[in-house]
Formats: sequence, structure tokens, C-alpha cells
Amino acid sequence: MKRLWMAGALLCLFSCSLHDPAAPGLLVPKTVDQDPGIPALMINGVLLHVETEGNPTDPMVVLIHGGPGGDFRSLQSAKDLASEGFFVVFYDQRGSGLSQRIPANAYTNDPIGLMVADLDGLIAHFRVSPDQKVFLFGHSWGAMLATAYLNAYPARIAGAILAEPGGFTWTQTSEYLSRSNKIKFFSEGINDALYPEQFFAGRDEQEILDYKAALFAAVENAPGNPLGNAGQYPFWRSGTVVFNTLIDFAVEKGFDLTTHLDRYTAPVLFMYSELNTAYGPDWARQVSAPYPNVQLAEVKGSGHEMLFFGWEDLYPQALTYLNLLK
Amino acid sequence: MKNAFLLLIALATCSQALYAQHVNWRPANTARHLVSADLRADFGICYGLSYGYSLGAKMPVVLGGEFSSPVGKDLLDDWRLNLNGQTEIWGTEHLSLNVKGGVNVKRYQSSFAHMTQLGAGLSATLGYYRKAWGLGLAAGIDESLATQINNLELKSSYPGIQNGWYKGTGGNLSFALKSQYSFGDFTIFLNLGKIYGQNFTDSPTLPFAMEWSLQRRF
Repeated sequence: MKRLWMAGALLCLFSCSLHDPAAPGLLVPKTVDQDPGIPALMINGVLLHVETEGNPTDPMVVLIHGGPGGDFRSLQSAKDLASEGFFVVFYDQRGSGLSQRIPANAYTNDPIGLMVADLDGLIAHFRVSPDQKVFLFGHSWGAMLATAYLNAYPARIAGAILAEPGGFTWTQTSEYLSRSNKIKFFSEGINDALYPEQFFAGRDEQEILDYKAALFAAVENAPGNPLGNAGQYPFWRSGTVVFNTLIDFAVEKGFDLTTHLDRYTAPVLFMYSELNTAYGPDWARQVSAPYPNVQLAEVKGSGHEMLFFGWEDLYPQALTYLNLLK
Repeated sequence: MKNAFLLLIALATCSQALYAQHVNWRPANTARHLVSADLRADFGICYGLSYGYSLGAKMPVVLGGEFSSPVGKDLLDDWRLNLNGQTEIWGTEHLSLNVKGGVNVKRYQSSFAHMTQLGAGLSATLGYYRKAWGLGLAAGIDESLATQINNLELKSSYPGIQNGWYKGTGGNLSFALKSQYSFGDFTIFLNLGKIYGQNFTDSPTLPFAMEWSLQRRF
């Protein structure tokens, strides 16, 4: 009986010393609302992680990260543009990266429209005069969001660099995703992604969901991945709720970001990577077709994460384009 | 006897409804040793071996264990060890209601993190059994109790990440249609089902679960 009590006491002591997986900052970084040291701005009613580089009166380049639910950590090479006379703005979209988490039911019935409004609020915050030119530089989902913005407000943007947007309609995007996310059931990568799903299951806390999503990234960048990524790229946090919300919205309602793109006549630099076997020049031509004035460019030696792995080849092309429109 | 009962209760806490060790509760062959080879799809494609020992006709209890691992280049970097006990709590000539419970240890290793998890589970199966075949409906719960996490690449991505032991990180509910066919000393089990996260929203990526098992009784 005495041993039983001792075992019980030890068990109690052990369980009391366990970490809470949902506690902020233990498994994923704290967000701007949890850590006042992170640079932040209140935009459209949400606290966003925002950083800038360069002279605020120079032509503005807004970097828009992928995902949905990614962050701008892997895009920071674009700070180089500041020394070339551009004011560079980075932000983590709502519910993404180090920006404030938002519950799924707060994305309204038009989450893409909400994110366009966030971007519009961000541009309005930093634009010092109506003459200051604004450029959008979007990667992947960020290039889709940039297109949604251009579709809504074509007159406000002087130019756009779009790096491998999956598609501009849901039909197109899902077709691309079926190629880029092709599952090899017997591979180590898929095993690394799916096996931990039994370790973390059925919990609602976003900290746990985000940690679980970070583990899932193992398959995206495993050796032989169709995206052509050389490995893992830097990131802060995978925003699971924003990702699921936008995918659920797209599956249920679909979207078409091209309805007014014919009004956007400024040149668009549309970039695709050499090593992403799910993309390529044919898909780039098909996706970019709704733009009246588009220039295709290949980024050599890189896969989908070209702003991180392919910056050396991407940067001169992007800079030439921006300088022409500056 | 009291200790044996306590042991059974202590064990009464593994396997999801779909997982081995399966038992034909109306066998033509009543030998006590049950050895199975299993292949399943749930959290990846996994293969396993399991063993069960029947306490005999007078006490409808089978005690056993299972070791399984997912396929992939790195053999045995991830695995699951499960110790379980199961008993028939009600039955007629062809109908049987049995419950299975146990404890498990799971291991996961990738370049991002290494984890070891202690968990427990309970499942129940209501089945119709003949000598040669049987059909059943099963439901189960699998709950994590504590998880030791050692972050690797994630540590370089987020230096403030905390390694160590964490409280329960959730659990799964599983539902399955189970079938079996016996010939000679062998029984083939085929189970089809669905696994949900305990909140029914955060569920596994694979939209179904399936298990195939070949068992020899001797």
C-alpha cells in the first residue's frame, strides 16, 4: 500500500511538471499580441507584424508572402531593394506568421476580400503622397492575393512582380495543387508528415495546430519534392486556421480573381522557377494569360521558394523591371 | 486473481478499434497462441507484428501486444508498441460484445523533431461470428497522456522553443467495419473505417483507415 502511495505521489509530481502544449511561446513563437517587442501595426482591426526598410518617401514595394498561413521570414532578401531607392514593406497577413491569430469564424464570408482590405489599409498607412508609386511583389499565394488586389484596385498600383501564383481561379489552383502536393504514399517524407498526426489530434488551440502544421512541412521540402525546393526555408509559424479557412472557402465557394484584370494595363513581371516540376513555362503562360501586358521570366537554379533559394538570379530581373517603372 | 484483475484494468486503457490484436471469438481452432502480420493505412502506410495469448475457453480473455512501424526509407525511426488486454463481456451463440484496452508507446523521428508519447486507449466491438467468418462494428478512443519532445531543425528556426515533457496533446476516435474469414489455422481480418480527431475537426489527412491482417492460431 505504501508503494502505491509513493507511486501515486511520483505520478502527481510528474504530471504537475509537464509543459502545457497550448501555452504561448513554448512550441511556436509568440505573436505580436503576446510579445510587445515585435514590430506591429493595427490595420483593419487586426494587429499585424510589419517591418520596413528604406526611405519612406521612395517608391514603395510591398512584399506579400505565400501560404495562406506562411510568413515573410524567407522573403527578407528583398531588403536589398532599399539600397536601390525603394521603400520595402514586409507584413505577415492576418492569422499568419507573427501577426495576431484570428478565430476561424472571424474571417467573415469573404476571407480573400478581407485580406485585400488589410493590404489596402497597409498601403494607405505608409503612402506619404498620391504621387508615391506602389509596387506589389507577391510569392505563391501572395501573388494570388496581389492579383486579387489588382483586380479590385487597378489604378492604385504601378507594377507587380508575381512569383508562381498557383492559379487565379479555384479550378486552376486546385489543378496546380494536385501536381505540387502529389503524395508518394511509401516515401519517408509522407511518413514524416502523417505519422505525428496521431501525436497531436483533435485539439482546438491554435498553438498546437500551428506546431503540428510545422511538422507537416517536412513533406513539402523532402528530397525529391515536386516544388524543387533544396530544403527547408526559414519560417516563423504556419498559420493553420487561416490556411484551413481559405481552403474551405475556396472549396465551398470557389473564386475568380481575373474578372477585371483586363483593366490593369501596366507591365507585370510573372516569374516561374526552373526546378518546380509542377509549374513550368506552359503553366506560367496559362495562369498569366488574363493580364493584358505580361512579361514571363524564369528563375534559374531554384524551385518554388525562389525568393530564398533563387534570389541571386531573381533579384537582377526584379530590379531591372522595377527601375523601368520607378 | 485480484492482482490479475487489477492488471487487466491497468491495461485497460490502447489500441484504436482498427488496430491489431484481433480475435476470432468463435474459432473452430481454440489454440492459445495468436500471431499476426498486419498492414494498415491510417497515419501513413504501416506494417506490424502482433502476438496474443488466450487464457482459454473458461476465461474469454486475450492478452497481447503489437509492434508496428510506417514504411519509408528510414526503417524503425518511427514505431508504436502496444500492450493490450481484451475480453468478451457479453455473448450468445453467434453474437459477441468485446472490449479491448491497453497502453502504448509511440516514437516519431524526423529532421524537425523527435518525440516519444505515452498513451492509452479503449475500444469495443459488437460482432456476429460463425466458425468460418464474422462481421463486426467497432468504436474506439486513443488518448495521449504525455509526450516528450526534442526539437531539432525547429529549434534552429525558433531558438526559444521548449524541449521536454508535455501534457496530453489530444486523441483520436475511430470507427470501423471489421470482417474476418478463417481457414485451417489461419484467419484473415479486413477492417475499413474512419479516424477523427476527438473534436471531429482536427482529423487525420488520410480520409479513411484500412487494415489487413493475417493471423495464425496454434
